[in-house]
Amino acid sequence: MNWLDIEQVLERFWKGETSLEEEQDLRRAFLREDLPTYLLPLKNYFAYTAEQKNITLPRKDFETQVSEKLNPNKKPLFSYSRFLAYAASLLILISSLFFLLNGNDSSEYKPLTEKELQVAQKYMGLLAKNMEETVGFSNQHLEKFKLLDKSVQSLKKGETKYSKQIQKLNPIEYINNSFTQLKYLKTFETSMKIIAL
Amino acid sequence: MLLNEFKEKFFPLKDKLFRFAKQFVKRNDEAEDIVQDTFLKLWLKREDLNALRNHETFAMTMVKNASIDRLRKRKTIRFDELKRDPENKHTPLDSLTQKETYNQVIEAIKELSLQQQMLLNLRDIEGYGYEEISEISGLSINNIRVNISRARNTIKEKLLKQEQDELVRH
Repeated sequence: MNWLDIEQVLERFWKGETSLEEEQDLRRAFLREDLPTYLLPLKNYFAYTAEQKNITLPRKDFETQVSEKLNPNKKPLFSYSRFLAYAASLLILISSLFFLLNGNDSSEYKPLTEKELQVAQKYMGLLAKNMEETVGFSNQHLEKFKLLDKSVQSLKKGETKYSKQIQKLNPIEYINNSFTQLKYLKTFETSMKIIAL
Repeated sequence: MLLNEFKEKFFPLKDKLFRFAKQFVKRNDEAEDIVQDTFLKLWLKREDLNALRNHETFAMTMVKNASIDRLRKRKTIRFDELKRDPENKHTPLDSLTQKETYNQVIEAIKELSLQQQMLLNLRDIEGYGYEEISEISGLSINNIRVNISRARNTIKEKLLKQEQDELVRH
């Protein structure tokens, strides 16, 4: 990587647009001996971050001390996964009990007669037809609403344009011009009177 | 999660967690306490740890929250503690010249908000991707990019200004 490329990467680095790999390249570049003089003041930042990464936990027996405190027999705190497992089991148990007590009496089950089936089919058909009509009707109205929304949007645009043009017009300037014109007219009128005399 | 698996997964993170905690609390002993407490809390949550998508960002988030809690308990956040911290002898900054060199950078970083300091730590020191930083910090990726850019630019300007001042002095 030449210094021109590095400078481009560096520009993106300040903007927070570089990848981790590019940032590694930059770190390596700032360690090079041929680092241009104008980049020297920034070298310290890259060197500092690299040094910081080498800092280790000072207490040498840290792992041993922590290991002694990690008691495998000590009960864990409230566990979310365990709670979910218990809740699911309880739910299954309650559902099973409910089914056993209320819904498992096969002697009460009587199949539908052919006539009842026909009636059910007829009403299901009617229901489907009504639903279809309702959906179509809603779609039609939705189109109208879309049109209305478009009109409102174009009205808003018109209003914005109108207000911008109003802002551009400077009423005071127009009044000033009118006054000037009136002054000229009066002068002209006086001159004419003098000529007439 | 069994003890051995827990140790294999979390113990290698101890230095990273320590650096992150220290970035907030500035003191070595407090940062160590935070890391230790985090390990103990993680162990108590061991039954949920296998379901985690990224155990590292989870641990980092816990350290961040614990560190902010500490700062709240202190009530006054003292950003100037870093320079006066006697335990800084543990850092690898050995020579006096090096310390002076990095002091310029440290001074520039101290000017940043705590949030910007945290984001720079996660990106420029620990090398996390923007998505991971978002998980840890709870900020949107766009917000993170903007803050990192501002923080880097502040440091750049400070370093260039310091250089100019020194040239004028000489």
